[in-house]
Amino acid sequence: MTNAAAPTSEPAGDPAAWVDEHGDHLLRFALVRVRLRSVAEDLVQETFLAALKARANFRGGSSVRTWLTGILKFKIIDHFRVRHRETPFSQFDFGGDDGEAGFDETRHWKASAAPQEWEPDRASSSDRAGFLRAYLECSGKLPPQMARVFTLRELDGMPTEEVCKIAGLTPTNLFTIMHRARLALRRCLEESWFTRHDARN
Amino acid sequence: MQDTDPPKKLPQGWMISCPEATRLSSERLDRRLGGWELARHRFHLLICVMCRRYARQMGSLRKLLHHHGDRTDGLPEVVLSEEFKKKLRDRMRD
Repeated sequence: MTNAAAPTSEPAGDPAAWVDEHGDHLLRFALVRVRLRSVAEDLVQETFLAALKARANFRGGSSVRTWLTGILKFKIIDHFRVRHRETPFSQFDFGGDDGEAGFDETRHWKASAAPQEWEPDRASSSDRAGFLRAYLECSGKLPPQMARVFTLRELDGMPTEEVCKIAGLTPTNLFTIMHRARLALRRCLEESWFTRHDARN
Repeated sequence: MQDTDPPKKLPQGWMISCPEATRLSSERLDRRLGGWELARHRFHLLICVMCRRYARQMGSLRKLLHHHGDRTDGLPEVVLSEEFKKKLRDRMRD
């Protein structure tokens, strides 16, 4: 058992094997966040090339996969930062629902928009594949800027102030964007996932 | 649906509308609500079954995304093509 787990002297292992061992994981991680396959592939490639250069810094405190994923996270944030710089906030596309669309003139829920009771097994969502596919479908319908802000905040749990810095937003704008993103996602996911009973076979 | 109708006699200022309550259900996930906001939000949820459901669903959505967002085994069909992997391996050797 002494030397079984030490195929190379480098702590990060053999870089030639990274692509096969971790490539699909990184692609999926990126795709859920950037939504476009071509962009996700570019980011994966950049991640491996950056990791190759920096592999001397890997000290083996974590797994290679965790280390690579950390690099990818930075690449995704950089990508978002550039995209947000290209599109000033004045051009921000808020999407269809301004937060009032689901309510009638007395400011109560319209019957057609009122939240439905979710299927308990769907809300607890042990079916990760089903939930993630539905999420990809629904987040794909959000305006791109809104989706990026939502991703940083909800998938990566980044603090509000940091998201504001990256996206060049005031906190008030951020709250508005998050509210609209949640309204739209909740509605889409409710239809396509949370109220479906055994929709997939 | 009686419990979705706000009671008629209440001190001014306590009542917020459903759109306002849904907005606060989102904002409380991004910032700490002030005492008065929080009180009005809670009060609205007490009397409005739809907004109560909405607020609960906001919490579920956040939990689900935190839980599944990093677990890439959930998308087994998403894989790099052999061609892409080969090109990448070649680039890494240079």
